[in-house]
Amino acid sequence: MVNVRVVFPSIFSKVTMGEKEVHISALTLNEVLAKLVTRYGDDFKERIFEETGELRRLLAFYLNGRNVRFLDGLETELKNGDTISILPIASGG
Amino acid sequence: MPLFLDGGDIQLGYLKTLVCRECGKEYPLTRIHVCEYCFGPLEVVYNYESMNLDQNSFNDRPQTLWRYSELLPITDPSKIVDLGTGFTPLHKANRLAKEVGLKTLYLKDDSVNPTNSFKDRPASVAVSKALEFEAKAVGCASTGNLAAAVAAHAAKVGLPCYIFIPSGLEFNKIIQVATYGAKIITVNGTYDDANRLAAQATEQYDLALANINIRPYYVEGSKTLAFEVCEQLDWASPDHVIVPLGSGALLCALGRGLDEFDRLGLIEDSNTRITGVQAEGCAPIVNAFTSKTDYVEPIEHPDTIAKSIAIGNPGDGKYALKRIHDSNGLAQSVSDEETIEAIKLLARTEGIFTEPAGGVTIAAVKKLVDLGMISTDEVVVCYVTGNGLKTPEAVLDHIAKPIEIEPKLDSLYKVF
Repeated sequence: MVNVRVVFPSIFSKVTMGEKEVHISALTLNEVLAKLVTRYGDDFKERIFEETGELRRLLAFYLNGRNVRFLDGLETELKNGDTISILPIASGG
Repeated sequence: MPLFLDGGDIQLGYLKTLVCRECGKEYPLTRIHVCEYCFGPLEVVYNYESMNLDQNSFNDRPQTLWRYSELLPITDPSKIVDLGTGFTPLHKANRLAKEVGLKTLYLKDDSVNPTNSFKDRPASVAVSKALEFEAKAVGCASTGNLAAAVAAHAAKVGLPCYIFIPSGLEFNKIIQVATYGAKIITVNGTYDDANRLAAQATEQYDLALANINIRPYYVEGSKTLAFEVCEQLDWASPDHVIVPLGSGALLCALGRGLDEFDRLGLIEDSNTRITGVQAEGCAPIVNAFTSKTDYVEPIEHPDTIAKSIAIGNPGDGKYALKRIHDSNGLAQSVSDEETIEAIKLLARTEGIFTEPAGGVTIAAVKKLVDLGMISTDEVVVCYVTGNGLKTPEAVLDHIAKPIEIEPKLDSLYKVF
C-alpha cells in the first residue's frame, strides 16, 4: 500500500462532511475511490460514478495534474506521495 | 429599471434563477457554476414572460452589447463595465463569397472590439457581475484573448486581475495583457493545465474568475453575437453560421441567443444551421461528430497555430456537439496550412486581418462548399472572432516580403 492525498472541490463539501482533502492508503485509483465510498457512503458514489460504473464524465480526475483518462483510468497505479484532484470539467473557454 | 448608458436607455432586472443544464435543478443566483449533484453546467434563466420587447424596442438603445440588457444577467446598473463592446460590423463579403463559391456570405467582424476579440462581450458581463458579487479580484484562464478582455475591463474599474495562461502563447497577446496591468501566471503546460490550476485557485482565494466560478453569467455575453447578426439582417436569422470551436461555449451561446430571439418573437422561426470548426491539431469535438459518438474524448497535447481554440478538454464539448446535431449543422477540422491560406484570402479579398481562430471558419466554409455540404444559395455568416495583429507569427513566414529600394528614382522605376 502507498499513501496518497485526495483533494476535493468545494462543491463536494456536503458529501465529504466538510473535508477538503484526505490521505488514503491504496494501490490504484479504483481502490482509493472504493475506500472513499466506504468513508462517505452512497451520496459520494453517485456523484463520482456513472450508472455504468465508469468515472463520471462531467468530472475530471487528475493524478499529480495529469488527467487519468490519459493514464490507465480507474486502474491507474499510484506511488507514495501522489496527489489526486477531482474537478468538474465545466469550466474554461 | 431604466438606465442611461452612452446612447440610450436599457432595461435590467429579468434575471430569475440558475438551472442545471443536465438535471434541471435550480440554484440561487450566486457565485456557483456547476450542479452539486451531477456537475452539469449551470445557466441563467430569465423571466421571459415579463419582457415586453419588439423590434422597435431597440431603436434608442446604446450601440453596444448592452442594448440587449434584458437578456443579460446583471441586476445593478451601476455595476456595468462598458468599454464600448459590441454592435460590430456585419460585412457583406462579395469578393470572398465568389472565391468560396457562395452567393451570399457575411462576415461578423468582432476583431474591432475594444481589445480586438469577441471575448470583450463575455468579459464585460463577467467583470460587471464580479462587481455585483463584490469580488476582491477577477481573472480567468485563457489562451490570450479572454485574458486581454478581462484585464482591460478590470483596469477600467481598478480591480486586481489574475490571468492563468499556458506557456507558448503569442508575444503580442502577452504584451497586451501585461500592459493593462494584470498579473500573468504562466503555467508550463497546456491550456487545460492552466484552466485546472485556475479552478483550484478559486477554491483557495477570493477570486471571481470569468470562465470558472462566474461562468454561467460570463457566457451570456457571447449570445449578443447572435442577437446582433439577426438585427443587422433586418430581424432575420441566417441560414447558416460558422464559428470557431474551442471549449464550445461560443457555439452554445449563439444557439441560445437564436432560441431567445425566436421565443420572444423578434425573429421568425430560426432554422439556422450552426457549424463549428476546429484545427486538425486539436479537434476533440469534430472527432466526436465524425465518429458519431456523444462523448468528446479529450486530447492531451494540442498542436496547432490556432492557439486561441487549442482546448483539449472542452468544457462545453458535449453541449456544442448537441447544438450542432440539433441544428443540422456540421463540425469540420482544417489544417494549419489551410488556416494560413484562409487568413490571407480573407485579408486580400475583404480587407480584414484575422488571427488563426478567425481563419479556421473561412478555411472551413471553402472546404464545406467544395464538398457540397453547404449549398451555394445558403445565406452564410462567418464569425471573425479575433484580430490578426494579435498573432503576427502565424503568417510571418507566409507573406510577401517588402520590396526594399534605394532612395533614387531609377530604383523606383525598377519596381513596376
